[in-house]
Amino acid sequence: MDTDRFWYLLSKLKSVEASPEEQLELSQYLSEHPADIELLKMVDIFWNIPFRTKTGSDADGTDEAWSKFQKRILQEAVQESPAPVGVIGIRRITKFLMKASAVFLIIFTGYYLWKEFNLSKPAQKNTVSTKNGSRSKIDMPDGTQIWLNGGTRIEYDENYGKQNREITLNGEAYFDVVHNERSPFIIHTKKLNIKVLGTVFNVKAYPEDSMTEASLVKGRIEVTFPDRPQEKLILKPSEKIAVANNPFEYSKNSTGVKEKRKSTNPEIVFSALNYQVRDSTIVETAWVKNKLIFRSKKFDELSREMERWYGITIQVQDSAILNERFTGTFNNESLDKALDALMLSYPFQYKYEKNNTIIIYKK
Amino acid sequence: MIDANLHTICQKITKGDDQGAFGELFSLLYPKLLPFAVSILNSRESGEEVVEDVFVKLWQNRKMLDAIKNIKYYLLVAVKHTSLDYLNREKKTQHESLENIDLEFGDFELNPENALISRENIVAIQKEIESLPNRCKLIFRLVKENGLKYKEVGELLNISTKTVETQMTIALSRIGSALRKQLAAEGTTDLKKLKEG
Repeated sequence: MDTDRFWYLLSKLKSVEASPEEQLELSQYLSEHPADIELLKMVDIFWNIPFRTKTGSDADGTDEAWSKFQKRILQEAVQESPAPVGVIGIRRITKFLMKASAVFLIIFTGYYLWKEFNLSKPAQKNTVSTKNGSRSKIDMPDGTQIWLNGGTRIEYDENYGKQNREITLNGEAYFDVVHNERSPFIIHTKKLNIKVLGTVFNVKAYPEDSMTEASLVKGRIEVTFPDRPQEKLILKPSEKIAVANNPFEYSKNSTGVKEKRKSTNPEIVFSALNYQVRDSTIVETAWVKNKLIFRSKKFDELSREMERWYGITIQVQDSAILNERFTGTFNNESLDKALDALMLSYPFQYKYEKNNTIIIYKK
Repeated sequence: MIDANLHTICQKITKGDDQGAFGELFSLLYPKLLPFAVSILNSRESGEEVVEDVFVKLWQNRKMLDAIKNIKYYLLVAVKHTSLDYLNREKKTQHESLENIDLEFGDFELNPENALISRENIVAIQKEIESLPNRCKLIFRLVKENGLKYKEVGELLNISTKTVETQMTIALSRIGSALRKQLAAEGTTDLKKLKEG
């Protein structure tokens, strides 16, 4: 074996890179050249002596660095919860609600992985969400106001207000977007993307609902569809668009188990906003004013809205009621009063179970 | 430093939200990361700043810490990227890898107080390491001090595994040859002593 081969094997051995064959080769060499065993011993010893900087060991300054670090994370913990500046819980509706639901506003600072592990560095994600039964309003860094209905989640990254004004919506939200010519405000939902410069509108995108809706109060919004990239729609004030979430829709059967059936809904519906004749309230956005308005709404759908409104679970044992249509307004009614009112137009009975579950059954 | 031990510390941090365990990790790894940052930035002060930033991010992500397979390598990669970002920001450079950066090895020494090896031998080894080219020194340091695999060093420095292997052979042959000379010299001194005695 030439000397180069020896150094090659030695370096691999010390680096824990030598294959079993190479280790064998080296030990064979050493048995033939016992003088080099002494050399190997010295390399072993030297390998275990850590380097240090000339001014002292590398470990010097570590304690100092650690106390500096501790101060910094303490400071940052205080300054955390970055973007949404004002968080205002909207007045809750009833005593039942007070107990059942506090306004939960959860801000996650998303995971931040290094480029190497995720190829590109993802921007830090912020999530704001409400539980069923609670509504809240947030002020975004650019001044845009967003009201979140129950069971809603919005996500935006750390560049919001700096490089973009994009959010992802899951659930229902009412937007009052601050005008900015240079930076359009974009909302992503599963079925609709909405691009605006500055306006007031409502988007309802609950994955469990049959339709995703966008309702424009004032201004102008541009609607595109992730499923049909070449199409684009402009919505004018008082117009509304609804897109079917799923060609198959899920509905609850009599045992409360979800079952799949072909949807009868058309894929896209273009219509006008619904106004209450009495006080010209817009039905689609009444929830912002703590009103749950429903017009000729199937109980199938209404029960889902009530679940989100009151933070409860409704189990229907009388499947006939699912196709019954109801019209009404809940202002500040308690759940009891609301159910009693519904019973006036269709006879049913209900009982409370644990975990905020209401069972609806035949009279 | 045993990697299993590091992993246990990481688990403690994730499960118990444990600042004490994080401090342990900090004191074990800070001294290993700082020289690497300094070698890229050629400034102890900037190096300290970068390594602190890396630990702050790690603290913010402590909930996923136990999912990291090789924390030592993970942090070196983090130090690399943070250092490059720092250079690009401060010096308005546009480095994406370490390829075109003069890596300064910085000053270092081996503790001469060691019972197992003579002071002369330490000095000889040190002289030899100092005379190695910078990149070779850095590779040597990453393998010996940080316990990285050749493949990891290659990925970190954007060089091939083969290059790492070659550089390590060069480093070991130069150090080994110096040691061999020392041993031979010691032998003659012993002989002299015998004769004189």
